[in-house]
Amino acid sequence: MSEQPTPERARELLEQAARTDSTTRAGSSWPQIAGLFGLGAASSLGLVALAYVPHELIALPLVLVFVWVGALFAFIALFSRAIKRGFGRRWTATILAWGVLWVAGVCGIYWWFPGQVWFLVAASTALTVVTLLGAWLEARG
Amino acid sequence: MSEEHPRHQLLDALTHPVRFSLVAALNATESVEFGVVHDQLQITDSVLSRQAAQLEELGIVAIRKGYIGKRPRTWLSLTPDGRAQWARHLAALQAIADM
Repeated sequence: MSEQPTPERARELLEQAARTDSTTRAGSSWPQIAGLFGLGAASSLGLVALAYVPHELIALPLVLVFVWVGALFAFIALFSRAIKRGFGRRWTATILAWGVLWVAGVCGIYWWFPGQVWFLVAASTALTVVTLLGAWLEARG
Repeated sequence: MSEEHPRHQLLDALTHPVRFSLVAALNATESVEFGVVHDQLQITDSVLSRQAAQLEELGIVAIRKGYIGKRPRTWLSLTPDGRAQWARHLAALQAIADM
C-alpha cells in the first residue's frame, strides 16, 4: 500500500472527497434544468393556445410544442457535459408525470371539459408546477 | 482475536491523489465529459488519460468515446463495481478517522 493514513490524514481525505463531490454536483445538470424550464413553459402555454386557437389552426400549438420540446431534448442529449448521479431516476419520474398531465390536459380541453376555464387553469398550472418541481429536484440532487 | 485494522480495507488504486480526486468527482455523476474533469481537477490531459486508463483496467472506471459532429468527446463514469469499491474505501477512511 502506498499510503497508510493517520486519523488526521483520513479526515482530510474525507473532507477532500466531500468537497470534490459537492463541486462536481454544483457544475452539473444546468442543461437538464434549463430543459425542464423550457418544457414547462412550452407545454403550459401550448395548452392555453390549444384552448383558444380557431379550429382550423388546432394543430399549430401541438406542432410548436413538440418542435420546441424535441429541440430541447436534442440539445440536452448532444451538449450536456455532465450528468448528475440519480438523474435517470429523477428525469424519468418528472417526464412521466409531465406526460400524464399533458395527455390529460389535451384530452380535457378537446373532449372532457371543452371551453371550461377552470380546467385550463388547473391543467396549465399543474404542468408548470410539475416541471418546476422537477427542475428544483435536479438542482438540489 | 483482534479485529483487522481498517487500513487493510483501503484500495491501493485509490490512495493515489489524482485517482482519489478523479473517483470522488465521478462518484457525484452518472457520467461526465473528460474536459469537465480536466478543468475541475486542474491536471494535464496526459495525466488524466493515464490515470483514467489505469482505473479502467481495474474495472473501476468506464471510458466511452464518441463524436458530436467532427468533434471527438470522451465520457468517464464509475462502473457499479467502482462505486462499491469507492464506498468501501470511504468507509475504511471513516473508520480510521474515528480511531
